Amino acid sequence: MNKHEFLETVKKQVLYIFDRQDIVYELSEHIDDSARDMMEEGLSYDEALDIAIKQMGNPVEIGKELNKAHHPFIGYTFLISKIIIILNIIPMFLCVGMLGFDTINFVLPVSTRGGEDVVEIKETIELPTERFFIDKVCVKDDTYYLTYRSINNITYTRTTYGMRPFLIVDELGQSIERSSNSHGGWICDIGFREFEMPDDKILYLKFIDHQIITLDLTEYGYE
Amino acid sequence: MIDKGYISGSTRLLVLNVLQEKACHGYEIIKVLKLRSNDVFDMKEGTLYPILHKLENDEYIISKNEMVNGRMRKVYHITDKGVKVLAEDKAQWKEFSSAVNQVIAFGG
Repeated sequence: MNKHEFLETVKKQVLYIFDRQDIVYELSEHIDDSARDMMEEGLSYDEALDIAIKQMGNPVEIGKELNKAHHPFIGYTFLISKIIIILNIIPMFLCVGMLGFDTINFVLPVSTRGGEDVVEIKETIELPTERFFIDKVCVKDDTYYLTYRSINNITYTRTTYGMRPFLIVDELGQSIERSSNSHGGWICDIGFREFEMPDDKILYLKFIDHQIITLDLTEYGYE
Repeated sequence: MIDKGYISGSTRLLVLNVLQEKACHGYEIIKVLKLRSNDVFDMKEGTLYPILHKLENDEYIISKNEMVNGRMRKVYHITDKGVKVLAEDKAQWKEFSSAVNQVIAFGG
């Protein structure tokens, strides 16, 4: 029996395959050590290796005993529970992380994106499923923008629309928006709408359920 | 050659005793045992590993991968639990062997 055969025979007895490699490595190192010592005493490599393997004993018996120490049931149960825990932890961290991130987003004052406050509005608008918080109008580089947050009333998840939830229009119903930007996670969306300031300082927010909210900025203190 | 039954019954005692002095890999343990027993404990060397792995399962010893002479080896260290059980095993062994000695002294 050569070294490879010996190790393979031991290996086959160990049913928990994930420990096989470590076992084979440990036994292989032992055989090498043993053979090396005998070569120092004057034996040839082949003789030394042959004796070293014989001194190891019966590979089937050794393998069976090792299998008891590396019991497949315990081994696999441990492995499976480890996998399940890891699979659960990843989404858990993602959810908790997003929840935390959104809560912070929602509680902290809305960023002005480097602009200056023009007027605070602080209006809440209820739609059948969503609630909008119209926060304020800011200005930066002569560009006016409206900031708002939105939350889904039913699921308390973010309000994901295929279309825009509302549009800023003038009295004729024409859009006065220039661009928009919104971001959010699972709970709330935070949005910005750039618009052309109308001469009369009145904004009309046209929501997707055709509700139109009139915001006369002068009423909120805009001059 | 000594009867295998005597050896296997006391292997835990012998192995833990070696490891209490010094952390060793498997082959070192065998060498120490052979040397100390004047080759009486000439066990089949491979049978040491199931014993070591069981002792590790029982947390009497712990294995660490360490570099020894430039090679990665599995080195076994005795744990606090192992030290405690070794003391118990030793006391039991002394009691047992002195009792046996007393009994066989009469057969002479």
